[in-house]
Amino acid sequence: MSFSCPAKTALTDNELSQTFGNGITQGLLPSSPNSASDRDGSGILNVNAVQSIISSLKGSGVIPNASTVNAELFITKQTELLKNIQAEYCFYESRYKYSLDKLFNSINMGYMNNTGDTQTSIQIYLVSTQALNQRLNDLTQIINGVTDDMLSSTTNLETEIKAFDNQIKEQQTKLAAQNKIISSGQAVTTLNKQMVKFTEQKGKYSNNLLGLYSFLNIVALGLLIYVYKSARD
Amino acid sequence: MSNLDQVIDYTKLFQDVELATAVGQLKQNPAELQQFLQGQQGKVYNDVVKQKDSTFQKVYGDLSRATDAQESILMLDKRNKELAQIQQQIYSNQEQSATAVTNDKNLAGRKYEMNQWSTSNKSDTLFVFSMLFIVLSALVLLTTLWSMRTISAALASGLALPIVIIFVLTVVNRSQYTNIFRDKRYWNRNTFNDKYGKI
Repeated sequence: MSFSCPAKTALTDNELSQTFGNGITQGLLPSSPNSASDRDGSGILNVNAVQSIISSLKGSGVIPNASTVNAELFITKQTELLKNIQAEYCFYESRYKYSLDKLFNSINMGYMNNTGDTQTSIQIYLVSTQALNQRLNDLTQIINGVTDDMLSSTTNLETEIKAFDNQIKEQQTKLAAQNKIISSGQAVTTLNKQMVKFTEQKGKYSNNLLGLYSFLNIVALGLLIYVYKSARD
Repeated sequence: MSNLDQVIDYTKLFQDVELATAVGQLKQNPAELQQFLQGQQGKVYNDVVKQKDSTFQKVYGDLSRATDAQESILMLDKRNKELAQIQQQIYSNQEQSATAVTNDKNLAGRKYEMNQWSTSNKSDTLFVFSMLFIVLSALVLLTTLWSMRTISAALASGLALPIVIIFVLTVVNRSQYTNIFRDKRYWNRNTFNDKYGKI
């Protein structure tokens, strides 16, 4: 993932103190550099200061929070974040290069013609170069902090993935058990339905026989009465 | 060891003298000094910028890889969730099917039991009807023989009475058995009027 900043030559001294970002785009670096209390002896930001900046950036939505609710939006925001980081780095890097170049030129001039103006110029560019160097160092530290933060949130997601994996496995076992019930149950149901049909047919056959015997009994009873009456007459 | 330190000290001294001489010579020739300084300046400038750039490239590369890893895991998590949801839906549907199959099986089983009991009861009634037909036929035969004076009235009555009694006793017995001892679910099971309790 290598990239190079576009060459920017048309810079002025007034632009050296500018900060990255506008109403739409917000950079990772705070608008004003952190104070000396947030830094160690060599001017590097301490862990708490970096964490505080990252929390603030997360709160303002510059660093997107990993969420599966709208993963596509998260990916878009992350791509945007990477693009903005590149732009921010190039913004400060071009000014740093400009300031450094001006500083060296002033020193060069000092060798040739050491005047008060030259010393003032050296001092001005030295201060701006130091400030821009610090901004670039801060940016590097914050990017490292963002990377660490992403890796820690990745660990959280991994835990979630494992939980869902276990859920899927459990349901798979349940599905297999249900499938067994359905397969075996369907065979028994088919058999029972066939038996119901058989008993229904048997019932119809019995009904026919009952009808026949009812008729025969009525005939026999009629015949008995007839014969008995005939015999008495 | 002290000799070595002396050599180092001398070497440093010679280097400083040479540097002072070179600077002195360069100051006498401003164009050469300018050229020398620009060369040194360019070298330092390039080194500083290169160092800054390589540091950032490394940090940015780490961030990009972390981003890619997070995106991949996020998508995997999303797919896992979707899969779990789909599986839950399948599970719910299949659960309904399993319940329906079980109910169907129980219903068909019970319906078979009911039909079986009903058919057996009809068969029992058929037995009574056929027995009644036999009894009536026998009575008709006895009546005919009595009317033809082939047998006496006493003999006819004597033969008819046991037949009728046997028939009545059989009907009463079967009726009592069905009403009191026969299981209401399984036709062939005797409950013994719950005399021995239930198993």
